Order: sequence, then structure tokens, then C-alpha cells
Amino acid sequence: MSTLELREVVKHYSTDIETVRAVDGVSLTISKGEFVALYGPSGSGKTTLLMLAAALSTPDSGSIRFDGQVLGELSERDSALYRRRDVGFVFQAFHLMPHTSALDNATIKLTGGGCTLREGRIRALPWLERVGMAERAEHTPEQLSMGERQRIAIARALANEPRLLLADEPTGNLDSKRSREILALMRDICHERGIPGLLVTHDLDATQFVDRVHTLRDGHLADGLDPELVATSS
Amino acid sequence: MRSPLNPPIAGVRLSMLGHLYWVRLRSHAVQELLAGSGIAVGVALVLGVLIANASLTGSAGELVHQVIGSARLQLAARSQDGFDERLAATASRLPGVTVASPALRENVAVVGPHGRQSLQLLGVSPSVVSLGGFGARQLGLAGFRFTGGLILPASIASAIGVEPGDRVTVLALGREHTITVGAVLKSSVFGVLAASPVAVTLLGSAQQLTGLRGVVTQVLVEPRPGEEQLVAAGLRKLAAGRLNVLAANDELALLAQAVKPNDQSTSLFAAISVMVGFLLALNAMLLTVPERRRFVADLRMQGYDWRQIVVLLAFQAVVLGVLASAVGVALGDAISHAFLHRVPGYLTTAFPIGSQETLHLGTVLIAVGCGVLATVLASLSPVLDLRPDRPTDAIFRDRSGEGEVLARGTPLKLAIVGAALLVSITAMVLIAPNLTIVGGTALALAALLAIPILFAGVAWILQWAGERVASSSLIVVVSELRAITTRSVALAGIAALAVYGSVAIGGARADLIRGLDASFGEYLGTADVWVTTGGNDLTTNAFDAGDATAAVARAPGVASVRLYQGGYLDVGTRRMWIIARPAADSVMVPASQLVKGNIARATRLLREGGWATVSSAFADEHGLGVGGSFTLPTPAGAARLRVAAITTNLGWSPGAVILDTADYRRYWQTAKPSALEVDLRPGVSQAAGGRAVRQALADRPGLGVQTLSERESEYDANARQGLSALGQIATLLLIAAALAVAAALSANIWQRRSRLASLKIQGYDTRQLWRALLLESAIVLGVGCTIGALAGIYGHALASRWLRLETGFPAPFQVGPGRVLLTLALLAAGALAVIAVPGLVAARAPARASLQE
Amino acid sequence: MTALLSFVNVSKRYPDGEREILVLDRVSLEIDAGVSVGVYGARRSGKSTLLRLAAGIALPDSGTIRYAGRDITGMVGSERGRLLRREIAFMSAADWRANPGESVVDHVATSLGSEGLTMREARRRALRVLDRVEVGAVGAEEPTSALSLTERARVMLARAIARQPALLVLDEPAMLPNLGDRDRFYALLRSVTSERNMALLIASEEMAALQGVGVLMSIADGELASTEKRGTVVALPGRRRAGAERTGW
Repeated sequence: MSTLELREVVKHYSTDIETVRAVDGVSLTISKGEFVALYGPSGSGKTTLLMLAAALSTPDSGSIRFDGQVLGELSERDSALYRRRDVGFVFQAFHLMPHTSALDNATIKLTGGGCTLREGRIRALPWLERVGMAERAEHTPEQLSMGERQRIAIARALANEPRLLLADEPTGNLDSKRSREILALMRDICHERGIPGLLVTHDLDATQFVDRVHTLRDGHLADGLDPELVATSS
Repeated sequence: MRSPLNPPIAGVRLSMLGHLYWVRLRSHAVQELLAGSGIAVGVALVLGVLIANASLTGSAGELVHQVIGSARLQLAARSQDGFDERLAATASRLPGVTVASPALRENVAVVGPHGRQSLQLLGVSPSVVSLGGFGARQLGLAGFRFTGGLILPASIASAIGVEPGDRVTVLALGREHTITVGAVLKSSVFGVLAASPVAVTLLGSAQQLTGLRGVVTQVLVEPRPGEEQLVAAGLRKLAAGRLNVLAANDELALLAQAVKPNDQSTSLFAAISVMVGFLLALNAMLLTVPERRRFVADLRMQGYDWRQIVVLLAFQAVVLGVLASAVGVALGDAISHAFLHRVPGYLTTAFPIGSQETLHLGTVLIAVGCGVLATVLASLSPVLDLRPDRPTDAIFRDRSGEGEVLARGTPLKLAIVGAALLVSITAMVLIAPNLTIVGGTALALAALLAIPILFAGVAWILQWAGERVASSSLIVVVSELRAITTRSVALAGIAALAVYGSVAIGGARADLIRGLDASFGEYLGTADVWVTTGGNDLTTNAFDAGDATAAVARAPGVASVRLYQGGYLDVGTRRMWIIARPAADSVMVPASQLVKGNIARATRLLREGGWATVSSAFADEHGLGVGGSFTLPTPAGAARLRVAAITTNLGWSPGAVILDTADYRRYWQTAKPSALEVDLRPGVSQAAGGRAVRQALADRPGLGVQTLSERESEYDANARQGLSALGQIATLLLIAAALAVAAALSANIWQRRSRLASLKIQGYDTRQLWRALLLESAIVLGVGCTIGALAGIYGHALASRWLRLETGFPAPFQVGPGRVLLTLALLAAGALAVIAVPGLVAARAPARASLQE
Repeated sequence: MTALLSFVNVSKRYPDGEREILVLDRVSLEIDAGVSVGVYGARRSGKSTLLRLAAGIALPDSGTIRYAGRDITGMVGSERGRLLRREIAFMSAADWRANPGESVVDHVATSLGSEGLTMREARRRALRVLDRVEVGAVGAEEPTSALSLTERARVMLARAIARQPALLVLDEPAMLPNLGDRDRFYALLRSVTSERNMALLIASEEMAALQGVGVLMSIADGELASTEKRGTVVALPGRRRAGAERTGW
């Protein structure tokens, strides 16, 4: 069962620059085929939650399970394996490799997992088609628009056929039209493949495209859009 | 409010400039330190090489001036047998002469409880004080009351372990005497004189020590102002064609000629070092560019206009450049003190050269100028942001921050320019070998131009491999290589230049050593045992053989004894090495050193008499071919000889002349040998023969006995010591380059942490990232090293050709693959070892670095 | 009377890969001295570009921008630079650049260096301004790296007003997690600009930031989509499109 399950997750940490609001007792379950948005202003703990879900950090208490395995208990190698095999990750800043073709960019997780570039290309190409970028497969990121770059990044995230999609402000660098297209694409993919998807954003518009919205404020999770936040923003 | 100490520059107060720099120092201490140390190392390198290059002639020049004082002319003997001292008195009575001071100079050895040192004995008359040379004056002031004692420089006195009042043994011209040390010259008072291998005593004592009663080798003459011509004419009349009338500082010209090949070969190295130093500094500064650009943008947003910003950037660059260069000067000075600056031993027998450091202002200015220029140039690139069509806050939007990427077609264009350069260098050097140093520098440039295309090529190969081999790191590396940044080119360039320099100079040096070994091997191979005055000489010190010849001949195991003669002879600006061989010697001319002529014929002609071989440089200077005739200014007057063959310089840069002892005796009017060549009976080992000869000469401690192998190894050691500066510079260059490349690569990796972190989220673990980083670093280094090695081998071929053609040194070209590979391995291993740690740290970058907060 | 700042048919494009995107499409507007104008728009709507053009930081591809009747686009670089020194201040929280080790007062003081002040004079003036934005004397000696988001916004504001500009251009000046802090910041901003009679051009994706402005405009996909006239200022959007196709609310 591909389900992401957070139970009473607590994560505290502080830096000397500012107090980073930690995740404070968050429980959340995302079932397969569900595209869920986590809405919150900057510094609300969204990124921390995403890090936990990607097994990049471990909770102070509580548990995060994916498909039955407890993420906090994975060794470094197993957590790398989890990210490579099970997780598809989409960034705000794309993080594509410069001067490298769109297709080769999409193979990065496959080659990281032991494929040759050739094999990787064969497996990644259908995903470029799926995100509508097949005819621009040989273009390098420098030749692509922002929206196209994010599509490549989504194809990259999906190339290893992940069982969980995580997205960190994926539309932060896109205009409204491109944003809508990208969000719809991600939602459709979650539905098609029946995988859970978690979108972290502070763009209210983005919440239009998800199945469920939660608001994160000061480390606490609330169902739906926080009316106070919404009111002050409109 | 107008304060002279705080003037506005382009409308910005000095205190504000200072404060802004202070802020920068505090906030970017690491980058500034890195940049500063890069500049400092570069400057140190430049300075070290310049010092090694310049101070040889510098200290000798100072020494000569300390001795000659106000003397303008000299009457000089053409051999160490000198001339009658009464000529000095005659000279002083010549019209226009104010002072004529006689002196006796001979190469001797002093022996104290701690050992033996070769030096030049300088016997002076009290009249030298009136010439007013600094040294002479100080000698007078220091209570040098002409007590008959020997005045030793501090360096020699401490080396042999004597103090004023002690007795020392002086070995001169095969004789032994003892004398009291009258004084020791401290460097604080006497400067270069105290560090030079010169012992001063009264003329009378010197004559007694050398057994040359009533003889001097030099009369220093001070003419009345404006009457130099008149005095010179008078002196020439006195000389009667048997003595040289020269400028008092003529020795400097001779020395300059002798060290010229040395100077020229180090100047090639200096040129390369300057380029490397410049690149080091430039690269270090390039690392700070993104953050300087942000600084510029911020200032513009605060209303600083472009003039103010240029002033600010220039101020910061100059402060950093000057401070770092000052550190570099100290470092370079320390380096050259520690191990660069040593006088080649072979020169000290012909010239009294000390190891006194002379740090010239000009040298320092060049090195500092280099550092500041590189700093200023490298800090200029943020100025590009000041173009009027650039948005003021461009950098805030520019997230790449990893240096300028070369445009697509640029690598090919650069490669074409490089190839064209290579062709022109080859053509130029073939036509004009004396332009080899220029060619060598241009070759370094051509090597740099080839780097980008090599990067592109390697990226292509790796891509090809990645399509077939499963590797997590290949694609990551290919991506980084594809973006050929000026910074990675500069990085590889440092490696390339360092390897180029080491391989080219190291190769030429190895050729030279091989050539010298061959030359000396043949030269010395004519006897089983050599008896000489000892010391590091080229068998140029004559001695009174007395009954030594007979004693040696009687020694058990000795088959025959021959008298070898020879010395130095000043011909024009050349202090030539004269080799006079007895006709019975098996080898008259070393066959391996023949440049023109037939060895059998030359040997026959030499034995017949009236013929001699000369070095190619001398032959070229006088337009001589085989069979041509030339004159030598000998003690008997002009000696007319014909050229039997043309040789290399036999290892003595001003050149050598080989003739028969019969001719030598005639023209030098002496039967004194400078060596006894001893042949042993068949079956007698060199060691046993040497022992027997030593025993036979037990009553002649002034004579040294060496077996052939002992003497050969002494010559070889001398040749290596003379060339050691080259090897040391090469090593220094490699170390500096390895460190600088490692530092710059590390910083480069560090700045990419965010992208590395994003790969972690793609499931790469630390080990995979680390491997990719090391692979990438290895490729950058490998490209640099390969290009450097290829250019280095070519440069080596050019340099060896230049040595043969232009300097006349024996230097047969031969590639030493082992040495080239060792150089490459040393640099690459050194740099990679240093990178490994920051690479690992960067590979461990937290994934959070790639996420938005 | 000439407007302090005016845009006439201003367009701006940016390269996006091999293509170009039209970020501003023939925008026209006018701002009078001492008046505040708010621009409401989502991310990537073109509002930042509009503000950067207004401050003379970037140049338009076509159209004319005048400041006090002078054509900014025709000016030489140094003249535009002088504008930023004497007349216009620009600030965006996104451009924050902490200099570790630099104190708050020094951070503000260095922005005054272009006027030829000595460090001591500049510090004195910086302290006065910091006092006004309610960063006290103790806080002034803190290193900039120790500032909270709220304090940071106030320090940036201090830096912007220190040279007493006639026009303050603020692009998303304070994205603060704490709503109380945010509201207090904007209240301070309003009182500072009105007491010094500064014109204000402020853009945000949060409506709360634009409370109390004289004129409210909104921008979407490069077009000034609607204007709401609240004061004496006239805004002339190039092409009005009523009920722009903004999604959501």
C-alpha cells in the first residue's frame, strides 16, 4: 500500500540566525492517488515537513511511514535508496544539470541507480512525452523556458516510476499560466498512477489544483485553508 | 569637515572606503584569505625566480666595486704567474695617474679545524685604501693595520672554524703555509665582502703564501678626471702586448658572459613562473567574483555611481594586492634564502662570487606589480555589470554565480589560434634559435589555448562511455565539463603551466647533465690518477711541481706521469678555459663534444702544434671555421693559432680552447703543470694506485690526489650543483601549483553545494557524489597536466636545441618518460589528496541547501 | 503640474530559454509627489519588473518613463545612478544581502557613502533613521546576521529612507510569518512616508501590504489589469481588461 503516513511528528531545531518554526505534532495521511497541498507562509515549517517525508532528516518524535517502512529508521544508504526508488521530487529552482540535454537530465536517477545512459534514455523518453517535451528532448536547460524546465524536472522525478511525489514550491518561478499547467500535470499524474503526492506551497492559487488542502502555521497543521491567512491575503 | 587625512575620492571619503573594505574583510574573510594567499604564492614564486636570476651578478658587481673603489683602469696579467710588481711603481708615475695600487689574486684553499674552503686570496698594498672602495675603507677603519694577518669573511671563518688570532693553513699553488687570522669580516659592516669567498691580506704576505715573490697579477689605476684615455695609452705602452689593459670592473663583463646561459635559462623559467604566479593570483580573485558582483549591485542600488564603484573596487584590489604581495615578497625572500640562492660551484673558481643576498628594489617592484596587476585585473570583471544597458540589480537575478561560461564556438576558435601559434613558434625558432625564450613563453600560451577544446573532447568521450557503462558519476561530470567556465580553464591552466615548466626545464636540465657527464668523462678519462691543487677547479691552478713528478713516477704501480697544463685566459668578454694536453694523452679532444671537424685529424693537428680547438660560441663570434686562424692574448703576446675543430663549450659557458702543452709552454712561458696525469700499470687498481701516489706525495700537502672515479664524481657533483637552482624552482613550481589548484578546485566545489544537495534528493549518496567530484577534479587536472606535458616535451626539445646552438653547452635531446610521468603523478596526487577532504565535506552537504525556505 | 513619475506605453521582455516572454505589456501610469500607489499581483505577474523600471534599475524595451519630467530611458548611466542616490530608493526583501559581522548601523551608514559623508557622519545619520523605524540604539550595534525577518524589514526600510528620497519603491518589502509583525511594519511604513511626504510605489502579493494606499492597481501577466482610484492620482493602464482572467478569488 503506497501511503504516506505522518503520526504526531515533532521536529525542533534552531539556528543562530533565526528561530525556525519546527513541525509540532503533525499527523497527516496521504493515500494513493491523492494530491495534497500543504499551504503556509514562509518559515511555517513546510520545508521541514518535506525533508522528513524525503527521509532527509529524522523526526524528534512521532513517526513517518511510507508503505509500511519507518523512514526515521532507515540507514543512510537505505534512505538514499528510498529517495532514488520511491520518491519523485520537484524543486522550485528545478536543479537541472546545465548544458545537458533534457533527456539526459531526466535520466539522472536511473544512472544514479546503475543504468547506462542509453538504458536510462530509453526509460526516460516516455516520461518526456508524457509531460509534452518529447520534441525538445535534445535541448539543454539554457535553451528552454522556465515552464519547460519544470516539465523536464517533473519527467526526471517520474522517470524511475516513483511511488510518492513530493514538490517544493514547484511554481515559484513560473507565471500564472505556466503554474496552472504544471500543477494540473502533477495532479493528473498522481491520479493516473495512483500515487500519493504532497505539494508544499505558499501560493494560494496553487491550492486550486489539489484534492485536499492543509494549512501549516507555526508548526501546527489545520485542515483546509486557514481563514485568517486567506483573509489577510485577499 | 574637510580633513586632509580623509579626502573624498570621486565623492567617497577615504574613511568610508576603508570601512567598506573592513566590512568586506570581516564578512568574507575566508575568500579574501584564499585570494590573498593565491596572490602571495604567485608573487613569492615570481620573486624567488627573479632573485635566483639576478643576484648572482648583483653580488659579484657589488664585490668588485668594493674592491676597486675609484679605480677606472687596470693592468692585468694574462696568467696566474703574474708580472713584476715594480710595474706598479712605473704606472703610478705615468702622467695623469693619481693612484696605482698593485694586487695579487690567486685561487687558494684555507684549512681550519672544521674543514677546508676554496677561495680567492687577494693581496693588496696599503695604497688600496686611497682608492676609497667601501670595503677598502672599512678595512682601514676596522683596524686593519697591515699586521700581516689574513682577513677572512665571516662565512668562511665559521665554515672552517677559526677566529681572529687562530692559525690557518693556506694551500696555494701546491704549497702549504700557515698564517694568523688577523680579522673576521662581519656582514653587518662589510656587506657582500663578508659573504664572498675572498681572503684579504697584505701584498707581501700573499706573495709569501703563494711563493710568487715580487709578483702581482693586477694593478688598479685611478686616472685624474678626464685623463683616462691618456692613462690607458700609457698603460698599454707598459703592457707591451703581454698584459691586458682593461676597465677596472672588467671582471663584471666576464662574469656576465659566464652566467649568461644560466641567466637565459632561468629567465625562461622566470617567464613561466610569472605566468603561473599571475594565473594563481587571477584564479584566486576569480573565486570572489560572484560575491563582488553582488556587492557592486548593492552599492548601485544605494546610489553609488560608476566612478565611485570603480574607485571602491580599485581601492579594495590595491589594498589586497599590496598586502598579499608584501607577504609574497617576504615569502619569496625566505624561499630564496632557504634554498634557491646558491652560487654554482663551478663559477667560484673563476670568479669570487659570494652568496650575499641582493634584493633589488626593481625586483621587488616587478613582483609586487605582478601581484597588484593580477588582483586589479581579476577584480575588474564586476565592472562589466556597470554597462549602462545592464540592469542595476542584474546579479540578484543571476543565480548561476559560477563564473563566465565560454560560448559554444570559442573552444574551437581558441584551439585554432593555439595551433597557429604553435606553427609560428616552430617556424620562428627554426629560423632564429636565439628567440627560443620568447618561443617558450608563447608555447605556454598555446598550451593554455588548447585547454577548452580538450575539455570538450573529454566531455564527449565521457558521454560516449556513459552511454555504454553504468556509472552514476559520469553524467554528473559530463554536465560540469560541458559548461567550460573561465575558472576551470584557469585551473587546468595552472596545472598545465606548472607541468610545462617542470617538464621543459627539467628535461633540458637532464639533457645538459647527461651532456656534461659525457664531456667530463672523456676529458678526465686520459689518466687513472690526477694530481692537482685540489678544490672545485677545472684544472686551472698551476703549481710548482718540483720533484713531485719524479716522486710520483717512482711510486709502485705507476706506469707513466704526464704534465697537464691550463688555466683561464680572458679573451674579450670571455674568460676562456684553456686546456693544454701533453701529446701523449690518449684523447686530445672529447669526441662526443665535437661540433665541426674530424676527430682523428683534429687530434693529429693538435699534436703537431700551432693548432687548437675552440668552442662554437667563440668560433661564431669570430666567424671561425675549421682551418681558420685566430689570435689569443697570451703572456707572450698575441698567439696565432689555427682551428683544428670546433667543440661544444665542454661545460664552461664562456668557452674552451684545447691545445698541445708544447704550444702552451711557448705562449704562456711556463712549464708549471696544473695537473699530473698518472697512468697505472695494467692490473693495478685505481684505489691502490691512488694510495701509492698519495704516499709518494706525503710531503706535498698542497697537492691533492684523486683517482679517476673520484675526480669524475666531483665534476658530476659540480655540474649538478650548478644546475640545482633549476631543479629547485621546478619543484617549487609544482608544489605551489598543486596547492593552488587544490585550493581553487575546493572553492569551486564548495560553491556548487546547492546543486550537489539536489542530487542527494535524487537518491545519490555521499559516496557517489564524492566519487563524481574526485573524477571531475581528476579530469580538470588531467587535462591540464596532459597539455602541459605535451607542450613541455616540445619545449624541452626547443630548449635543448637552444642550449646546443646558442650557448654551446653539450645537451643531447632525449625524452625521459619516467621523469615526465613522475612530474604528472606528483602534481595530480598532491592536488587530489588536498581536494579529497573539501570534496567529501561538499558531498556531505545537507539536502536542505537545495530547498526553498 | 507634471507627475513625479510617469509610464507611457512601457513594455519589457525577458529571454526565457530560446523564447522571450512579455513581462510588461504597454503599461501607462502616473504618480504624483507625496502619493502612495499599491500594485497588487501574484508572483511572476510583472509587478517586480514594473517597480524595477520605475526605480531606473532596469530599462524598458519600448515606451517612455519620466521622472519629474525627465526621460529616464534617455539618461546616461551616471545620471540614472544619481537618481537612485538623491531621488528614488528601491527596496526588495528578496535582495537582502547579509554581511556577516557588519553591524546594523554600519549597514545603513555605508549606503550614505556615495554622498561623501565620513563614516562618523554617516553613522550619526543612520542612528537617527534607525531610531525612527524603531530599531533602537542597542539593536543598531547588533550584527545584521542576527536580525529576525521583522527587524530585517525595518532595517531595509531605514536604508531606503536614509537618503530622504522623494519616491520610495518597495517590492514585496516584508513577507513576515507573524501577521501582527507584518501589520505593524506596514503601519510604520505609512507613517514614515506621510510624515516625510514621500511618494510610495509598493507591490505585493498580499493585499494586507497595500492597505491604505492612495491608489490601488492590480497586475496580471504583464498587464495592469484594474485600477482603483482612491486619491488624487490618475493611473492609466494601457489596455484595460475588466475582470482579468485571474483564477481564484
